[in-house]
Amino acid sequence: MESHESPHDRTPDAAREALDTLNADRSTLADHIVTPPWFYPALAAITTAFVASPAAPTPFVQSMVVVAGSVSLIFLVLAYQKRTGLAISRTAGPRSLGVLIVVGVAIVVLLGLSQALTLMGMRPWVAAVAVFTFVMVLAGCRVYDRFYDTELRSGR
Amino acid sequence: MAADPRFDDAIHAPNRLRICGLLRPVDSADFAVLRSALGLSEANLSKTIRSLVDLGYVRTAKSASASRGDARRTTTVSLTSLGRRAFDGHLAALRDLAEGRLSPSVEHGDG
Repeated sequence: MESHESPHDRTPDAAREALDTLNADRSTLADHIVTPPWFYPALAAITTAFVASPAAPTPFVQSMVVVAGSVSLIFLVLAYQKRTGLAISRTAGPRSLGVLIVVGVAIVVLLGLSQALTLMGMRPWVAAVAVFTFVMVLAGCRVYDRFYDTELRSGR
Repeated sequence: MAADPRFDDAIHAPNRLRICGLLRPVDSADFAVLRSALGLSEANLSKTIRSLVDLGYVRTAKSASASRGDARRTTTVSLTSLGRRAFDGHLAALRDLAEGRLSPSVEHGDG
C-alpha cells in the first residue's frame, strides 16, 4: 500500500535503503533496454545514405535520398519505442554524451568530405567514404551502448 | 549540474520514488514497462501514477497500439520538468542524508 513515510524515515539508514532500491531499479531498466540487433545496422545504413547523398546523379535524386532517409529514421525510432516500450533521447552520463558528440561531428565531417569529393569530380571515392561511415557509425553506436549501460546502472 | 538537496515528502513514498527513478533517464515509458519493473498490480500502479499526476510531477498520454490485440490504448508515462527537478533534489537530499551531510531533523523544502 502506498503511503507517506513519517519524518522518522529521514534517517541515514532509510536514505541508504531508498538509494539501494533506486540503484536496483536502474539495473532493471538497463536490463530492459536491450537494443534490437537490427537497430544499429539500420541506423548506420540510413546515416550512410545521408553522407553519400551528395554523389547522387541529380539534385532531385539527392533530395529523394534525404527525404527517404528522414522518413526511415522516424520509422526506426518508432519501431524501437514499440519494441522496448521506452522513448529515450538523452544520454546517461558524460561518457555516452562524449561518444554521441564524437560520432555526430564525424558524420558532419564525412558529409563535408563527400560533398568535396563530388565537387572535385572524384565521385567514386564517395563509396569509400560511405563504407567508412557505415563501419564508424556501427562501431560508435556499440561503444555508446556499452557506456550508456554502464552509466545508467551506476547512476552516472 | 548537480541539483540542490531538497527533501520532498510528496515523492518519498517508495512506489512514487521508484516510478520517478525509472522515468528520470527516459523520455517516457509504457505503463506495462513500469508495471513489470516495479512488480505492482495494475490498480496500485494506476493509483500511484494518478497521485503523481495530481502533484504535477508526471504526465500520461494514451495512444493507439498496433501491438495490442484488443481495442485498449497504450498509456505512456513521463516526468514533467517539475517532477524532474523534484526527483533530482530529493535524490541529492537522500545522498546527503545517507552520507551524514544532512541532519534527519532538518526540514528541507517539504511540500
